[in-house]
Order: sequence, then structure tokens, then C-alpha cells
Amino acid sequence: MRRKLLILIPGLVLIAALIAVLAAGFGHDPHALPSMLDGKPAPGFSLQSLQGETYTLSELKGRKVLLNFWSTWCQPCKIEQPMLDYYAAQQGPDGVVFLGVLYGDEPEPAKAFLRRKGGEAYPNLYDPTGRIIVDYGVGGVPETYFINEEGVVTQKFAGLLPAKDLEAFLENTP
Amino acid sequence: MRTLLLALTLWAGAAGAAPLTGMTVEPANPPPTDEAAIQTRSIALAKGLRCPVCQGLSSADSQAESAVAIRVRAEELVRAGYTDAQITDYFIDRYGEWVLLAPPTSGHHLMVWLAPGLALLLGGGAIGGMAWAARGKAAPAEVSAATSDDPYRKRVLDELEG
Repeated sequence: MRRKLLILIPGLVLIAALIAVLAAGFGHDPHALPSMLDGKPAPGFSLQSLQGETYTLSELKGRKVLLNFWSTWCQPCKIEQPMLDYYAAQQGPDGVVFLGVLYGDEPEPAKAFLRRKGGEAYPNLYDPTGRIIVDYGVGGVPETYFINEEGVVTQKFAGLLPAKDLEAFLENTP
Repeated sequence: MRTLLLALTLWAGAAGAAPLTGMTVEPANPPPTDEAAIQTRSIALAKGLRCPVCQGLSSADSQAESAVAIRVRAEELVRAGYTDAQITDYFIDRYGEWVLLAPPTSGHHLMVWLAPGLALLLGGGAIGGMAWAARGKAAPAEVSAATSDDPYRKRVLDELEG
């Protein structure tokens, strides 16, 4: 009896540990990238927009920034863009700075896409080196980053940006 | 001439020590010059970094946009003089430890490396223990026809022996 217990108890402990590991694994999406920049300074950049203007993050200090990574081949990006256009158009001179960043796309198809949908409501940046993708840890598109007035990333959204979160970010902004 | 060389060396050293755009730390080494070594290190680093949008592929083995960007950035950092550890830390800061294809050999990740060996030891120990316990037990004694009390068994054995 004692010998059987000696085998049974470690066996049960092992099975319980295995179940705990599997339960923890099933609890989260293995493809979901963790948000590593929350609460950290937003990586700096100085990039040209599709219109040829240069945007430098450090020069935007004192204003909130919304950084939206997108591409013309991304369907969810096309779904969320009318919402971003709507809120971007409502921003005053000191309001939130909306910036699009092309991901895996070229300026020409992006310009053609934006022309078809009636123009740009906010500037779209292009990084030929792709460095900004890695600096922000972007996995896929759409991905959106909220940056506060101090240049700190407050939230990252992978996938469609929920309207209520965008509205909360825009609150109390002139 | 020597003064000029020294000035050039100091300038090159200073240039190598400046943090690259997007980096918070300075490169630990001067920029390497051996092109073959740069390529080998860059590929080795990319092979250990997960492609963010693929299923179990390394950044070296994928043509996805983010994988290509990781490859390019890894090579850029190697060229600037950053060590493998500094470069790996940079990617962990951006993507988390998730980005590593092989779990680290420290902290709670160490369990992943030790668990198979421990399971093998435990299983082997259990089997060995059972075998050891069974060894002491006497094998059942052979029953001969002469000593058997069972008349039917005695008859069968007699028949068999002729």
C-alpha cells in the first residue's frame, strides 16, 4: 500500500502540474504579441510623409500622438480608417496628432488608395528601411499606439482599434 | 602623422560608441570590419528570432515584412558594434521574450530545459525501483508430478511423460 502511494502521489503531482501548464497555455492567444512599450518612451523617428513633409516625434512633444500602422492590402485597416479620418478631422490646432505609417507597402499604391477614398485626413509616413516597424515591435497591421504629451506610449492596440478606447484617448484634448 | 592617426582612431572610436537611432545603449564594441563575420552573426541572430507573423518560423527563414525588418535591423546593429546580448535585449524590449525561438536558460524558463531530463530520471527511477523490489521475491516453485497432491494434475503429467 505504501509503495503504491509512493508512486501514485508523485504521479498525481506530475499530472496536476501538466494540467496547470496546459490550462495556462489555453488561456491566451499564442500569436498575440505582448505590448512591451506601454509606459515607456516612444521610440523616436523622423520620417517623410507621402506629401514630402518631415515628421519628427521629438518635435511633437507636448501633444498627444496616435500612430497607426496600416497597408493598402489590409482589410481591417480599411475598415478602421473612416473612423480615424472622422476623429482626425475633429482635432483642433493643439489636438491629437494622427499619423499613419505604411507597413509592407509602397508610397504609390498608398497614394492611389488615399486618392480613391477622397484624400488624406492626416499625414501618412513611409519608412523605406522598415526600422520603425521593429522599434515599435509591430507584428502585423493594423496596429495603433497612443503616445501621451510626454512622449510615453500609453497603450498599444493590435487589430481593429475600439472606438471607445479612441474616444477615451481623445478626451480632454483641445 | 602619428598625431593624425591617433586623432582618426579616437574619432572612429567615438563614432562607434554613439548609440544608434532607436537605441538607448551604446555599442559595446567598435564596428566590426570582417564582412563574412558580420553576415554570419546577422544570420545566426535572425535564426534565433521568431518571425512575428509566421507559424514557428525564424526571421531568417521568412519573407514577411516584419521578419525582413528584423533581419535588416539585426544586421544594422551588428555593423554598429553591438554585441549579440545587446541585440537580443533590444528585440526582447520590443517584442518580449516571445521573440526568442529557444527559451532562455535562466529564471523560470530553465524548467523547460530541465523538465525532460527530470521526467526521464523520475521515470527511470520508478521503473528501476519496481524492478529492484521484484528482484527479492522468490519465483514460484516448480511443481513436480511426484510432489503434487492434485490427482488430475498427476494424471496429466503421467500421460505426458508416457
